[in-house]
Amino acid sequence: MKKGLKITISLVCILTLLILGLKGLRYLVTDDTRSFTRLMMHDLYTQEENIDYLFVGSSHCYRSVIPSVIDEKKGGNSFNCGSSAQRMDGSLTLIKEVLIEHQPKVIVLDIYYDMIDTVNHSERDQLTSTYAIADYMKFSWNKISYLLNASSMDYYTNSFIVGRRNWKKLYDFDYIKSLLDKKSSEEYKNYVWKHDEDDEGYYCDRGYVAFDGKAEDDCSEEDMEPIRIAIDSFTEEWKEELKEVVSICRKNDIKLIVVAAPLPSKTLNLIQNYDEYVSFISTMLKEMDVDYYDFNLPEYKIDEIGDDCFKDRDHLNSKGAQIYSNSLADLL
Amino acid sequence: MLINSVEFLVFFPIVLLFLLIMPKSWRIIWMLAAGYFFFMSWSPANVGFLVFTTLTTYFAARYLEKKQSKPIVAVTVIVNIIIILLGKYFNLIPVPVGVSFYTLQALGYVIDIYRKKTAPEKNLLKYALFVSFFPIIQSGPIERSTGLLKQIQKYDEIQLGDLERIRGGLLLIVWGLFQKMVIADRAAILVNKVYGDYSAYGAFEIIIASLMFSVEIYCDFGGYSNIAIGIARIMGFDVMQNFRQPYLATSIKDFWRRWHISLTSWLTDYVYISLGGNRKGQAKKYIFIIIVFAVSGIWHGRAFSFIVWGLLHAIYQIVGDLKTKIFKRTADLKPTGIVKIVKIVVTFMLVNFAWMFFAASGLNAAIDTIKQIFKVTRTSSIFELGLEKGDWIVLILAFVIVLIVDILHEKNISIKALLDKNIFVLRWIVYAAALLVIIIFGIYGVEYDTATFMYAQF
Repeated sequence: MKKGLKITISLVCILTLLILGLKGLRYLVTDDTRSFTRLMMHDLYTQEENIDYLFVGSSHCYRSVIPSVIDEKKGGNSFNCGSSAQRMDGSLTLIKEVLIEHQPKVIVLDIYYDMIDTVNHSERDQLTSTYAIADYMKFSWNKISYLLNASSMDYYTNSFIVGRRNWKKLYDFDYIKSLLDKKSSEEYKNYVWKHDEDDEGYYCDRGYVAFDGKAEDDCSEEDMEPIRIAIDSFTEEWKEELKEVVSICRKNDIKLIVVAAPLPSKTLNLIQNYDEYVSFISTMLKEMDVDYYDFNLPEYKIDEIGDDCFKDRDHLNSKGAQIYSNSLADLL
Repeated sequence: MLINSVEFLVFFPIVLLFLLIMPKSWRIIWMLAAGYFFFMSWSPANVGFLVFTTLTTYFAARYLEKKQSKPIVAVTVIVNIIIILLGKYFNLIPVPVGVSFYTLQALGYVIDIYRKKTAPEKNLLKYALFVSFFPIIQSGPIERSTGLLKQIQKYDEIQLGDLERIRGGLLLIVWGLFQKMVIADRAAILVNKVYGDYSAYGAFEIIIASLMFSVEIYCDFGGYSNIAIGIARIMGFDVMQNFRQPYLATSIKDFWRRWHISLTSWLTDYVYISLGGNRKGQAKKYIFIIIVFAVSGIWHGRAFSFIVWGLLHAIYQIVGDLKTKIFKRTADLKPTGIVKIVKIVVTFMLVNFAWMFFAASGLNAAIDTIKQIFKVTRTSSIFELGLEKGDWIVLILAFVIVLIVDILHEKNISIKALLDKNIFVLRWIVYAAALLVIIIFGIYGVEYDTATFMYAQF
């Protein structure tokens, strides 16, 4: 056999076996059966219609914006790409991913003050929110660069080799058996949400996650710690990523709107410097010529949203999401 | 840059790729640049020490070529040993990585020239490459002028890119990574925990930690040596073997023929023989053995416990030698069967006991750790020593594999030859499986800081 051919076959063999082995490990030990993002990303990749209205942001986005409500009011096809604790680099990556197949008219970026980076990517020690997105992305340069930029080198092995994060589960045969049972269900195979009593919500459609209950009123304001937003600590990386989002939208002729979903009045009252924060964000976005709608400010506050419209101290429930989505659609 | 780091994973293929495509006449300069880059990745400021050792030994050898001069040899040895002493023992200067290794290598060369065992290398670049050869600069093997330097002298003549050589080198690297990342770094978790807080533990934990230290130090240093030899082999060099199934030794003397072979043979050739070796009578022979092992202890570090470790081995050797003389009739017989197993176990236990002085942070700590064995029986369960059930399963299975491979090697059965007998696809399945095991079960990444190779500190 010729030398070159022998090397090629050897490399192909070893790479194929490695990839298969690592995929097998991931399947055996990674429990993604309750992952909202797995379903959202599957929905994203299987969207046949063009996505006209795209929503990105953290759980404040995926629990607040109902695509079907937006469709009803605006026509077209909308999609909610929110994910747990989504950071700006996550939003930017998802926007790039959507642009591969779609040409949105409007992108709505939800910025929640607590999801603004206050440490540089290289100092991050928690990458769960990054993995929530990257683990379900198709293999592409967009995914690779997202993972490479999301952390220091120390995390690369965990970032790229999903199964390694949970390898110790290999010895927990009960865990593996129960996981394989769950993964063999029709719901899992067909990317359908399986309802569970302990659900903190359920996946509905095109990224929206609903919660039908309402916040337990078991905490008084006194029990909650005052919050001070660390405006001075917002990183330059975050600002640069926001600028890149703006630039991508401009380049692709997409209208960009930045919003802040409603928060319960109790939570708002605890934030000591919310006005200062709003002023900071507004000024920055104004310089970029981007509209900012903060639904916690008196001028945009939605009167129908009361205490019964929240699932907890932060997020809207189904009722709140319905009202908010209607109001949001009016802005688009 | 550790040779099991992500950085090295980028560095080495780049070095190799250019080596394969560049004109042969550029190889020496390229390898020299790679060596210095690798050395400076640890601490750029220390490069002066490497240059100093290279130049002093180079010019000493050139002088010795013209005139045999003991004072020149002595001065060269002393000034270079002073650097080690100032750095490692008195903390007066920063310690360059691998100083104990490349200094011995360079001094061995000077002594070889003095003894007329080899001719001096006139090309400074080639000699500088001999001293700074990156696969071995960090932790050996300590090469000889008759070995590595001879290959460097002909490096621009050989054909690189031989597939069999590359495959052999890669196999050694994978095997070394397996020893280091799957076994040594895992055992280190337990060893560091127990030895770091020995007063909290009893006999049960300390004995386990001591056994694990034997596993750790073998797989750490042996693993590093295999990686280094594999890297050198891929680049066309044959570096000397450093370990030969040490825990299958049937006596302490046999152990030292198998453990850190390059250091043992260096000390034998340049210290023991220089002192007089076996030629000056039995009593002096034993004194020389004590001196050699004391030097070995000092070479390992400034803690007094290293000297005690060395002296313990010297005592073992002397007692062993006396025993051989007393039981002359049976000593000549090669042990077999149960006798051999008993000898292997006894030797291992003696080595293991001596390792306790090596593992502890100092002599007092070592003595207190040993006392603790007699004071407290047990304080915790085996799963409270830093390793979970899964880690134990991996550790035990992996070390059993190492033992099986060692036993096969002892019987002159080569794993590579066994693999070569298999069909092409099956062979690659084995390689992929080995890589998978390292990727999945290796200790690296954020859960655990990549442990430096233990011998990089010496």
